[in-house]
Amino acid sequence: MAAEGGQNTPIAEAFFPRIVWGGGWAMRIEKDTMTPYSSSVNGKNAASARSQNRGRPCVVFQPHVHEGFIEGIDQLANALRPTLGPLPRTVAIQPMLLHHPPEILDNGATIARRIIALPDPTADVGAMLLRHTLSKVHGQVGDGTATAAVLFQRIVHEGMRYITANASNPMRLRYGLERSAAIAAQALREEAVPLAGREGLNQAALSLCHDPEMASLLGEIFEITGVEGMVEVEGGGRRGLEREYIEGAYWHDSGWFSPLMETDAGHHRAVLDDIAILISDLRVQDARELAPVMELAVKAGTPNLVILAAGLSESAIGLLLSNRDAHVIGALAVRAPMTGTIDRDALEDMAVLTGGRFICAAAGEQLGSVRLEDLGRARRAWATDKLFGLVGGKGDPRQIRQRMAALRAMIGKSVGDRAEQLRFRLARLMGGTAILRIGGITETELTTRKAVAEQAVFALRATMESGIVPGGGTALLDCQHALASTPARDSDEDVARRIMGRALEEPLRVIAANAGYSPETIVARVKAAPRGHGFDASQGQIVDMLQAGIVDLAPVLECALRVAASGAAMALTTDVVVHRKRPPESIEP
Amino acid sequence: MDSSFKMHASIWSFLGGLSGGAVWSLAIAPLCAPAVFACTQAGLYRSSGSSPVNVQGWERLPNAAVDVTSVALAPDFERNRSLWIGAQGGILASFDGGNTWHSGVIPRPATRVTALSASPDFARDGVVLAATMDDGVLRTEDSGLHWHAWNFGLFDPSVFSLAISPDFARDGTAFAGTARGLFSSHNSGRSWRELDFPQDAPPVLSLGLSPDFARDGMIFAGTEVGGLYRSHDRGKTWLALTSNLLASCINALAISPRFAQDRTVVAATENGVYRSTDGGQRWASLGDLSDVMCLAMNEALTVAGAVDGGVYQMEGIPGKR
Repeated sequence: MAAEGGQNTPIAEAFFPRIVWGGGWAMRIEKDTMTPYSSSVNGKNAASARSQNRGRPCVVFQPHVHEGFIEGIDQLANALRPTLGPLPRTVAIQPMLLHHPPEILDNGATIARRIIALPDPTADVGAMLLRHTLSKVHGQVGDGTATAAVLFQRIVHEGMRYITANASNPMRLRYGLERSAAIAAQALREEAVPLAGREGLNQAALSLCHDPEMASLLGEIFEITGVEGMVEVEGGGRRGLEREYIEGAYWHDSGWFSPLMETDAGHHRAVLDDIAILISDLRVQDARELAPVMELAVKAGTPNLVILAAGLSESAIGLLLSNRDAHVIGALAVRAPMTGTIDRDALEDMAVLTGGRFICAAAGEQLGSVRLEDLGRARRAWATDKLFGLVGGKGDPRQIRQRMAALRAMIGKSVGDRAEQLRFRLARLMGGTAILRIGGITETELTTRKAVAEQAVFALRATMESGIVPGGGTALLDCQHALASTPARDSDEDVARRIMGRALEEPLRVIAANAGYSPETIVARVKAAPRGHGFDASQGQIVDMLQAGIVDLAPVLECALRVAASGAAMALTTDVVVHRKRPPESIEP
Repeated sequence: MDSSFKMHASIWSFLGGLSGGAVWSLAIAPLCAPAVFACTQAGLYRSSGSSPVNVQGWERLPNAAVDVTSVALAPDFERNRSLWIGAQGGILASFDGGNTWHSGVIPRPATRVTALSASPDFARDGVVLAATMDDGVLRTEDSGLHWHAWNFGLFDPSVFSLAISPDFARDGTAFAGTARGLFSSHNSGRSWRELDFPQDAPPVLSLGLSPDFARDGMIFAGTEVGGLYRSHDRGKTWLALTSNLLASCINALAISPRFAQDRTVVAATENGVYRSTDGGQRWASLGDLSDVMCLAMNEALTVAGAVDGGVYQMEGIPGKR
C-alpha cells in the first residue's frame, strides 16, 4: 500500500526522474544571477511537503499552485537551457536498462520528452504544462523547443512577479500577453527574408542541424524537390550520409502479394514496363473473377498488368503467375496501401496519376463490371515486399493539377500529422522522392543523427515557406521595437508588454550565458547595435547576423513565441490544482 | 532524295529536298562548313557547302540512326565537334561532327525524343537536356553517354519543346513545353515547377528565349491552338500576342541572335512563316513557305524545314532585309 500510494521514499525516488546538475552548470548559477532559476522558490520544506501529496487526492490553492508551477517549470526549462545557442552542452539521460550507455542529448524536444514526471505533484503539473507546450512547438515546426522553454519560463516568472507585487489581473494579463505575442509575431514575419538559392538553403540547414555534411545534402535535396517535394529520412547501412532520388511516386504499407512475382532478384524487386493497372480495394477470392480484367488487358495489347487489391487468394495469384509464365501477359499483384484500414486517398491519387478509376468495394463494384477505360496506365510499376511504386503515370495532367490544387488548399487548413500526410500525397503527385540515408558507427549515433535530420527536414520546409530572420535571439530582441510602438489598451496590457519585452531578451541572455559571457553586457551591446546586428557567440562579436549566416527560421521562432506565450498565460491563470489519487505519467508524446 | 517537294521561288532559297518526309529539326553549325544538319524519318543529313551561306548539297550520315526526330549541336561545335540526335527509342552522341556515333544509355522502356538542347556552358558542365514524349526530361552530365530522368515537379511527361537560358551557367534556367502546360527549372533541369501559363493554350510546341534573357527575361511560347505568347519576366506572367497570322499551330520559333537590337522573331506555322521586328507586337508574312516544321537561325543564315522534306534558306537575319 505504501508503494502504491507513493509514500515510500526510496521507491518514489527510483521511479521519478531526477535531474542532476553538473559542476559546470552549478558554477554558472553562481556567476549568473539571472539564469538558471532556482528551483527552491519558497524553500525546500514547502516543496518537500508538496511532494508528500503524491498519490493523495487533494485540492491545492494559491500561493502553493504558483510555487509548485515555478518549481516544475524551472526544473524542465533548466534542463533545456544548456542546449540553446551555437555552443550547446549535452544532457545525459539514465538508460532504462542495465549495461546500456546513457543517452546523450542536445535536442530540447527529446530531453523534454524523456522527463515524464516529477516527484512533487504540483510541480509535476507545471512541468507537464511546459512539456506539452514544447511538444506542440516541436509538432508544428520541428524545432525551437529550447527557445520556447526559456520564453515560457521568463513569462511565467515575470507574470507571477507582477501578479504578486502589482496585483495585476491574471485574465487581463493573459489577453495582453496573447496580443503582445501577436504583435511580436507580426514583427517577425515582417523582418523575414526569403531563402535565396542553394547557398541560402545550405545555410538554413546548417543552422538547424549544425552538421555541414548533412546541411549540404539537405540544401541539394530541397533545391531539387522544392518546398512541396517528398523527403524521407532513413537509417542507412553505412557510416556516412547518402541521398537517393527516386523517380515517380511510391507507397509504404503496400508491396507484392507473393515473392514469386519478383523479376529483379539482385534488387529483390518486381519491375514491369508499360503497364495497365487495376486500382481497387476488392478482396479477390475466386481466381475466375480476375479473368475478365486479364482478357481486357490482353485484347488491348497491354504487355503487363498490375492488380492492386486488398486481398488476393492463392488461386488468383496462381492464375496471374501461370499466365505470366506462359507469356500471355506480365503480371504483378500488389496489396492496396493500408495503414490500419485501406488508404482510399492513396488509391484515388493513384487513379488520378494513371488515368484509371478506383474500383471501390464499398460502392458495391466488382471486377466483372470493369471496362478497359477503368484501367490506369503508367510507364513503369515496381514493387518490393513492402513498397509499391509508379513511374510516368498517364493520367490527365489537368486532373493532376486540379488534385494538387485541392491538396494545397487542404494543407493550408491543416496542421500536424494531417498536414504532413497531405504533403506526402501532394509530393507523390509532383513525381519524385528524395531519400536521405543516415549512417552511424553506433546505434546511438545513428538514432541521434536521424532525429536531427528529421527535425531539420521539417523545419527547413517551413522556412522555405516563411523565410529567415537574424539568428541568435536577435530577431526576438528586435521585436521589442514593435511592442514599444503599439499603444497598450489598459494598464494590464501595458504590464503584459513589459513582461513580453523582457521575455524577448531571454534567448539572447541564455545564449550569451551558455557561451560564458555576461548576459546584461551582451544584451546592452546588441540593443545599441544597428537593427539586424546580433551576438555571434562562437566568435564573441557583434555582427550583421544575416551576412554572417547566423539565422533563425521565421516559422520556428513565430511558433515558439506564440505557443510559449499561450502556455505561460495558461499557467498564470491557473489558480487551483486538483490531484488524483494515482496521477498518470505524461508518456505521450 | 525525294523529288516530290514543292518549289518556292521567293525570298527563300531552296536548299534541297530530303528523303523521309517531314524535316523535324534543324541545326546550324556556327560559321563553319559543313553548315547545316537536318533530320527526317530517313535519318540525319549534313549539308556539304563550302560556307554557311553557300550550302550546295546534302549527304545522309550513314552511321546515324533512322527516324531521327531532333538534333542539337554543342555551343562550341567548331572546337569539340559534339552533336546529339534523338530518335525513336534512343539518343546518340557524336564527338566528331557526325561521322561516328555513341548510343546513350537511357531509361527503359525507350521513348520518342522530341527536342534536344545543350547547355551553353557545355564545355564545363557537359549538360544536355532531352525532351521526350513519355518520360519527361532526360538529363546527361557526361556529354550524352548516360541519361537520367529528372522530373521532380514535371507532372506532365509529354514534353514537346525545350529552351535553355543563355545564362544557364549562372541561373540554371530551362523551360519545358508540354502537352498540358509550361514548366521551368532553375537548377539546371533537375526539378521543374509549373508556370502560370494559360491553361487552355497548350500543347506548347515551340519555345524561344531572348539571347539577352538574363537582362530582359523575354520568352516566347508557341502553342498548337492558342497562338503565340510572350513573357518579359522569366515566365511569371504571359501576354497573348494576338495576330490573325498566328492563329494556327505554331510549329517553330527562332529568335534573332541580335534580338536586343533588332527585336526580330520568326514564327513558323502550318500556314506560313512570319516575322516580327518589334518583339512580337506586329507580324508580317515572310515569303510564301507553308507547313514549316522547324527553324534555325544564326548571324549568317536562317533555315526552314518543311513537312514535305524541303529545306530552305534565307541569308542573314530576316528582320534586316
